[in-house]
Amino acid sequence: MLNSIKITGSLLICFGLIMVLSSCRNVRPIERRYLSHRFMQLSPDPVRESFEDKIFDSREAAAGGKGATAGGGCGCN
Amino acid sequence: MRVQLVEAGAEIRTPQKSRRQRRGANKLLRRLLHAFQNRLRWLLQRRIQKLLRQSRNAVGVAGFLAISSASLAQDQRDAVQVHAFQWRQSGGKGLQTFNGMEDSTIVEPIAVINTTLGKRWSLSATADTDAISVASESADEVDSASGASGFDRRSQQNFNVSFTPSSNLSGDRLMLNLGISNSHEYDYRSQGGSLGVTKEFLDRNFVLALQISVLNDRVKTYPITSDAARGEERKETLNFAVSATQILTRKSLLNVSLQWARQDGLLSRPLNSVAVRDELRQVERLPDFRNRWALRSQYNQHFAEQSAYHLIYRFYNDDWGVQAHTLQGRLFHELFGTFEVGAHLRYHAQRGLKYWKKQFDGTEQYATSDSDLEDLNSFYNALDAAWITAISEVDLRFGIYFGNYQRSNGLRGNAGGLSAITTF
Repeated sequence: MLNSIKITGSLLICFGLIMVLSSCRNVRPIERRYLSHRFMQLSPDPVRESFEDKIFDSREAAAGGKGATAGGGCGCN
Repeated sequence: MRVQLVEAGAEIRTPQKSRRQRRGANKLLRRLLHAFQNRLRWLLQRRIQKLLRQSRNAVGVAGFLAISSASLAQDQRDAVQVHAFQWRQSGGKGLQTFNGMEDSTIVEPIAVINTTLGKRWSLSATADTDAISVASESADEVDSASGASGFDRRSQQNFNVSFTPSSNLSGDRLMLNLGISNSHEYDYRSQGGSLGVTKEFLDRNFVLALQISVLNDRVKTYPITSDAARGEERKETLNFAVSATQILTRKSLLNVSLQWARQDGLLSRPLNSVAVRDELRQVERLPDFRNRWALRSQYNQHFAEQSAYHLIYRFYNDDWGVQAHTLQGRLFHELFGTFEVGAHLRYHAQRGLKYWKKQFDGTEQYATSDSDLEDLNSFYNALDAAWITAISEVDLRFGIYFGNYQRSNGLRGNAGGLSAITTF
């Protein structure tokens, strides 16, 4: 199960990199109507996601990845 | 003067307006029309400038939020946010506790204030407090170092400042971010600081962000059988993160971030214990340093005019033998321009610590039976809804959400929250 997830994750990252290298285009500011929508933010609800991440970081052994502190601050991980 | 001869009996008509009068009326009409056109043009220009500003800020803010824990206002307006969250867990059979119980409840109200000073400065302040109720010692490790039986409370404050030194605010910007934090409960305190840099490229199609943060924690330690503190231990954390965000199309973008953290000091939990032979128990023992890496990628796609989805994958690895994969999917939809609904699914699979066992013989250098650190899978799902309205120039957003968490080793949890956001 872990191996299949590892393969899936690796494929997802490779797919993402291929998309970056081959299909991205220079989008002008006047064309960013959809990108400026709140849903397209990387964290549309940053406070709620911060709370959920704290729960996950303390209930699991893994932490971090979003740039927030991976350890310390609350005595929980 | 003109004289018009009229026959007797003929109908007499009122003379029409003179040419001068007609010219005056036309002139007034032209002035009114001109003023109306100017007003309309001014309103349209404001609207277009606002749209351009939002679209230009989109990727910059997205990339910045990827790296910063500060909740900056999305469109650089002032905002006041009030949130209240609750987490309740049960069902765990933690071998790290005397009685195996891991029931606990946490209530966390949070207040956030965002404001801008001119076009270059943004400030954000966050204050929250956690009221923690636990069923046994060390049952709760979400927000406290000791999780002592009964009731505990932790308070935390964060303050962030961001500054744009770029002379051309309409072009690719450079943004600096400085943050400080403070957290305190009766047996634990933490102070930290962070410094971040964000740079936009290619007319804000690509954003690169770097952040470094330091946390300095102090933990009071207690013997298992005593309420008197034995002493105080330190715990220090150094984080370094880099994040890149690329616009792919008019409706999609990709973010990849890499984070490295090093912790040293007291990394075991003061009240966790492990079972040894003959029904004896010893205090948990873990190394006093740890290196942690996390690689995360996120893909955002907008579709069907009012919807969007996010696909997220994170790979985690550390030198304690933990390896984990996390997959997340989020779906957002807007209804009638007034309501927003969303769904969140998360699957996590981890290989536990190499020092983890159910029982030890007492001679091992490192030993833990913490249920959070063993081999496990977890699944989380959540639904949320929000109502958006406005009063004059003030935007209001009221939200609610519920989440359910299940872990393969028996722990179950429920999360919920209410939020009210005012933007002006």
